[in-house]
Amino acid sequence: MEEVRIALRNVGKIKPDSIDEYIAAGGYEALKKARALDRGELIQTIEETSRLRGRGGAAFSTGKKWSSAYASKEETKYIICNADEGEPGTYKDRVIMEGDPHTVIEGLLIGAYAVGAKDCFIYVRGEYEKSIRLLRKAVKAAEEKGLTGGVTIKVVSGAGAYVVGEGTAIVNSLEGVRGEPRLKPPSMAVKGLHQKPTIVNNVETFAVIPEIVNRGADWFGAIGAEKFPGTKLMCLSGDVKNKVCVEVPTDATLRDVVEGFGGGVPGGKKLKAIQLGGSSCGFVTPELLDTPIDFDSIRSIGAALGSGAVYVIDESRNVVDILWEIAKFFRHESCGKCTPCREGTMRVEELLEKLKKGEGTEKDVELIKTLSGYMQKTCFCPLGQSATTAFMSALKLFPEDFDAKLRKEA
Amino acid sequence: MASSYQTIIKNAYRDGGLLDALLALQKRDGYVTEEGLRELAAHEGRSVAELYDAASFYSMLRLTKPAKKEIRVCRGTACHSGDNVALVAALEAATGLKIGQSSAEYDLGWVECLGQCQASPNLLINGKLHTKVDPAKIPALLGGDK
Repeated sequence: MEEVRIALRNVGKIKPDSIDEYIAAGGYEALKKARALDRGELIQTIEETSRLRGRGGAAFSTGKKWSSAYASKEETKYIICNADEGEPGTYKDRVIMEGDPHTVIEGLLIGAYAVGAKDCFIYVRGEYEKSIRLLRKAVKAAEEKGLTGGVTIKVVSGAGAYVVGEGTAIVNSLEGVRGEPRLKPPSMAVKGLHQKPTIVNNVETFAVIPEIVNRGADWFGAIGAEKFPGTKLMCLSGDVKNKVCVEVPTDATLRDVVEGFGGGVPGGKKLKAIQLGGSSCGFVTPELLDTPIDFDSIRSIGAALGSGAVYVIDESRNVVDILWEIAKFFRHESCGKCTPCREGTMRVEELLEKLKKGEGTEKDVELIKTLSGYMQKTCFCPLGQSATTAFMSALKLFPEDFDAKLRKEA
Repeated sequence: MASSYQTIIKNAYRDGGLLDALLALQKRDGYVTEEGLRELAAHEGRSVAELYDAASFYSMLRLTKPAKKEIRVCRGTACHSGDNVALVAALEAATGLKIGQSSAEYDLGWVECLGQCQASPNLLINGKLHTKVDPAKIPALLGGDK
């Protein structure tokens, strides 16, 4: 299995801070091509022929999102590039932004033309200082070359808040208030930033747009899986030989990623599981590694592709230790807006600490299960709803890890 | 001499938004001071309370005077596998603090996944990223950043 580099086509080949090298590699040709097309047709090809679906985790049709904003009669529309990458184990957007910031900007400008937006924002997580610096330089260079065509792009810094990666929270943060999520509906495409139609797409989604326009939606639509065509960036971390970010066609299997690109588990140990999609997702055991990585195949095995994070866990680890780390993360990142999440993540963390330390009982496991049920049903946003996904998955797959940790009654 | 608040705020808004302005004010004074917040409120035409409310939401923003050295250990799952426990033990030994505590010299705490999972374990010292940190080199690392 070879990598198929679309989003990463220039990464490592050109200087990220040189617009001339990007242009020499065929950059900004797609923007010219797109601007010569009818907007409706452009969106239709992306929607129906390329069948591109968002790479941030939800896999919603990019073309559908664009067409609802395009159809809106509002004069002011916004496009936001979600670069608030914060899902543990995920570093793909950083690899794109640090390696080829112009592809993000070109994708964004194509989107702005398609839906008729004049103002774009790239919201970058605050810790990614290098990405912010490179993107700002790239925007300036594109402006100086007259490529922006009257569209403004602002590169805005986040300041440390995982929940802001959620599409409605990013809009609140951009409006200068607490980055808490908003109630939906209305969807962002109807009333988003400043109550105007707003498109929010992930970095990886924008990064492939120029190639779709350049090489044709047919070409893109023929790569990988039928219903989730193209490529996906996968980030390997944990107990794996090669901790790398790779771009693979969506019909590649988890085995291709973990064993092929990742080189498997080091030190002669056996693979226990992977956590796929980040801390908000469940575990996948070795017998399911032949599943293709596309969104729907992964969903059919009861897991989630999420961000494409592949956190590899070897046989020496007790999954309860990992669950406690995850619980601490969610407790810290819960924004506090809704009670089930604010209180729930705290209690789950406390109970998992007990279990991890060998002080927990069966009753504590039951309590987490009950809390988890409430949180999935009543939390305001996906943060709380998915805070215990990993726990529930682990309980099903590795009951022996829990048994090993339970307090032994005398 | 440090730039004036208004210059900093103006430049931050030219490049980005409110959070850029708050981060720039923090860079100037080491934390977001009340004076800085008042200047920002005047520039935004909003109340200081509103801005304080927004600023207090974000973990990168400090609203009180920080220790000389702020150490943040990444606690993502990949860094857990990279043995950040040993790293924290070395930091606790070097600083005399428990993680979560601070003194005038050090502020030792966690940070959520830094997105450097390929090079775990990771930490930040005064915002500067260090990857693949060897616990044995902690004393040198802390000494070197003085």
